[in-house]
Amino acid sequence: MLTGCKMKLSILIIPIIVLVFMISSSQIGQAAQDQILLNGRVKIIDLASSTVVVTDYEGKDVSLSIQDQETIDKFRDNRIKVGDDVNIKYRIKDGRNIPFSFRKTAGC
Amino acid sequence: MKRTGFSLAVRLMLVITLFMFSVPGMVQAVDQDDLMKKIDALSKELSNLKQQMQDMQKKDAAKEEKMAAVEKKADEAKEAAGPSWLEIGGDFRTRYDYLTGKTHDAVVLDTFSPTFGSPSVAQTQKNTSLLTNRLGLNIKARATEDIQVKARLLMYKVWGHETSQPVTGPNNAFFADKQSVFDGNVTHTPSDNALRVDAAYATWSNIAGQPIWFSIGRRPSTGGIPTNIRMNTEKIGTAGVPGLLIDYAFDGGTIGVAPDIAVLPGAYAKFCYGKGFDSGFRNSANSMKDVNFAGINVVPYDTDNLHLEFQVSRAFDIFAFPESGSVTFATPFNPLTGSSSITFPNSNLGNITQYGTVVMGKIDNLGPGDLNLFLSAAASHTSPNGNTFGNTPFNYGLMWDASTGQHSRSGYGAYLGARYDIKSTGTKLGLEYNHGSKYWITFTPASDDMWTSKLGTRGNVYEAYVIQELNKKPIAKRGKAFFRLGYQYYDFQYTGSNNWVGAPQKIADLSSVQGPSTVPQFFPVLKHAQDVYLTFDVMF
Repeated sequence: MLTGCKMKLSILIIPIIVLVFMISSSQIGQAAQDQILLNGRVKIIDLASSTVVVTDYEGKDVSLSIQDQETIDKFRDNRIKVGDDVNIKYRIKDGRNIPFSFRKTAGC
Repeated sequence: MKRTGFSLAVRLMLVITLFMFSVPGMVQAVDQDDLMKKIDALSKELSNLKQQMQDMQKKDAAKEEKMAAVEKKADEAKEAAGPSWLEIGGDFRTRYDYLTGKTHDAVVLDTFSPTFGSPSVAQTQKNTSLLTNRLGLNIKARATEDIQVKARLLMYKVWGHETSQPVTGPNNAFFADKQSVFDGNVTHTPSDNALRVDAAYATWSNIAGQPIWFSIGRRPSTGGIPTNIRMNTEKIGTAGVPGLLIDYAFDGGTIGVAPDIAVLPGAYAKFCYGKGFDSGFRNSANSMKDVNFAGINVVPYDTDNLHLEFQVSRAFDIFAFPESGSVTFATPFNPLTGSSSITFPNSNLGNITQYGTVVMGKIDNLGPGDLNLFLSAAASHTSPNGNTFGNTPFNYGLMWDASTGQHSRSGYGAYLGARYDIKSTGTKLGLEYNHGSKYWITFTPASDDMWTSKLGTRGNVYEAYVIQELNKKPIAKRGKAFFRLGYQYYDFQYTGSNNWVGAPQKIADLSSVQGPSTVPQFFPVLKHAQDVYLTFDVMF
């Protein structure tokens, strides 16, 4: 009986610890100085010019120049579509916004 | 006299000459005046036209300025609002079913009572016009950055009825998943016109800036892949579960991660938990435990053209009967007790573990269309705890009864199919087959099948269908409409499909004569069944 209770307790504790760790990490997480974080929704995908426009949650459009094949494949495979929420990290180079991490917001 | 005549003639000549020379000059002088007047008039008209054109240009410029100002204001308003925080969509379906089946001779519990057995002889079962309406409303609300709530509301009713009686309960249910409307199949079993919450859950994404999410609430644990192929709906995505293992409305939660791995596009994994039953306060009168589900789902590859999925899940302390600490059955009047009913306590019968996989792919442009293919396979394993449901001599355990004794049982199920989509006409042709072994058990009471969940069948099920989409320009975001005409054939080989209570028996061996070791069946035993269905679906 006691063993069963302990087991249930440990089953509960593990996800709680994981959650607490996630929450604390989110509070102290800092982006590197040269990178810009962008969370928003995909507005335009133009594969011909390798340009994607993302609208951030304040309504501002940010045009991004996609240069890596891995990200282009995400648009080609429809893994990222217009209207999807995305999390992006990019740098400004020669006046252009170059993402180095472009992923669909994980979740359900 | 001569001089006078001469001078007169000269004078006359001079006058004529002068006249001759002076008349054109006079005429010319008159034309020049007119011309000058006309030129003046034309100049004035030109000036007027110039003025008018300048006025028009000024007006156009003013209009353009105004339009630019409006556009600017619209842009500013749009920027202020940001992307839409609320999305609403849904679907409507009317469905017609022509159901025919044939039962086999058997001994069957009298009105579900686990004390009385009655002979049941083979006969035809038929409902030639089961009509249903289903309305679904989908809501997606982005509350804050990374946090959103999704909900699906469903109304699903039988034409001409405000209960589920035409498809559940005594005389209408042949399988446990249709025995009653309960937490796992409510909103997926046609009943009344109430709009109920099918799913409602909150998701926190991008936790700690990582591709990790946490989601909790009433889960979208129904209609998972590859069952969406025949329903002509999009796959659910990271929230979904394999349809061969779980098609059950759950309250629960998920913690998931979707690492960005180049060689494994779209990969994700998640831990899922669900509660299948809350037993209430436990005390001397109630020893029933809660029923819990837990599972690990791994999708190593997820693109439009290939999807791989694995899942291991377990149901802990599975109940004998859903949603009740005790079960009361109607019985013939018993003069000794003076009662026409009997009550049995519900019971936790043990654990059920499932292992399953799905491979789904699409070949683009194969001839005039695309070919969708899928294969799903799974195994189930029971771990009975010795508890039983019912009274001696009819004791029923987890996939065992008094005639077989207690055993752990393993079963397997397989589900495969194809759908060919002809793009030019919007026609989709589908074929499906599934098989379940003697001890196969799955959790799919929320299936879209009328007889019973075909994926829980212990035997074979064949299905063919054609979908005809209407070539209409969508107005709604998900706007489309289609007809679906299909045929299902069930070939049941063992009893108790979709039921983990009691031991499965070979249907061909059953008789209506009760022997000393005969353990009655819970339901009339269906041997074959057919369903011809036609739906009209509109999505928005």
